[in-house]
Amino acid sequence: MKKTISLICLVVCTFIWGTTFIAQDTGMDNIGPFTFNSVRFFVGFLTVTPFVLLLERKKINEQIKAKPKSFSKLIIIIGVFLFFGTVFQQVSLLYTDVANSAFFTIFYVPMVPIIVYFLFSKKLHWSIWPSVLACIIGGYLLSDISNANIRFGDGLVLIGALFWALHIIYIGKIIEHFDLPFFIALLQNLIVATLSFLLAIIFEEIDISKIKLETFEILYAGILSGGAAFAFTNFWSEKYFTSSSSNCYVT
Amino acid sequence: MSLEGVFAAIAAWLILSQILGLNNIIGCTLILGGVLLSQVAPIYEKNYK
Repeated sequence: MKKTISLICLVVCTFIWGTTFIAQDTGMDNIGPFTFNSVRFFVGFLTVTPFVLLLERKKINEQIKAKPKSFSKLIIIIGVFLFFGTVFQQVSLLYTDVANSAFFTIFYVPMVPIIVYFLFSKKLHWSIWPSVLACIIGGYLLSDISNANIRFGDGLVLIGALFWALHIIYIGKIIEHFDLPFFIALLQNLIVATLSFLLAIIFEEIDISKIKLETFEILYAGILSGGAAFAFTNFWSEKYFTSSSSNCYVT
Repeated sequence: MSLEGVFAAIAAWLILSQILGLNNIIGCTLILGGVLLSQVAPIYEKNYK
């Protein structure tokens, strides 16, 4: 029963993430990618805040007290990886199509065990090789190598996927030591919003009236994807799956 | 949760009319198959062997 509930929850998250690509694409009709990303993750930050206050406020101190240095190190790593993952993906949508961005993003799934092999010398499963081969041939068929824009956009997505893979790996690590899924989601959203805001100041003109034109897209991506889905996946995967299989379903 | 690509592609087709050619669809299927294999095979072996 619990497994059924968590599976339904994860399918809903997948639906949210999939359709968020549309919001990310149309959300840039009037504003630049960094502004969109910054506001989106700030909305995500606000969305998670009540959950932190209601569910985790009391245990934050006691959880972190034991290893404050390890917590701050991990949360910065996670925030920065998520920032690079989302920024590369967001910018890619200026150049390539939604389906390309979505399908090249899931390259992070086979990237995870390969990175884990290099970082922590954990043995690779044989299935990784046919998987990589299928991804390369599939990627060649999906992309349009002759179109410079598409080629560039798809390249950006692949770089982003590398950071998504790193993000997933370190989310696994932090959740293992600190039982604070909402607080972790809160801080990573804040880090992504802040870093994107810096890029927006440098490279884009921030115009509130134009940001307002993208309200629906920002709320969809920020509340549903940035807020709920991240927190839910952390929360459910941790509660109802063993640590080894949770990694699978999170991806 | 690698099915997010499928949701995205269908939604892009319905909402943005970004249509995939046959080659692209074969490409997506290969990627999805590869990704699912790398996710499911290790768990399957662990549970049933």
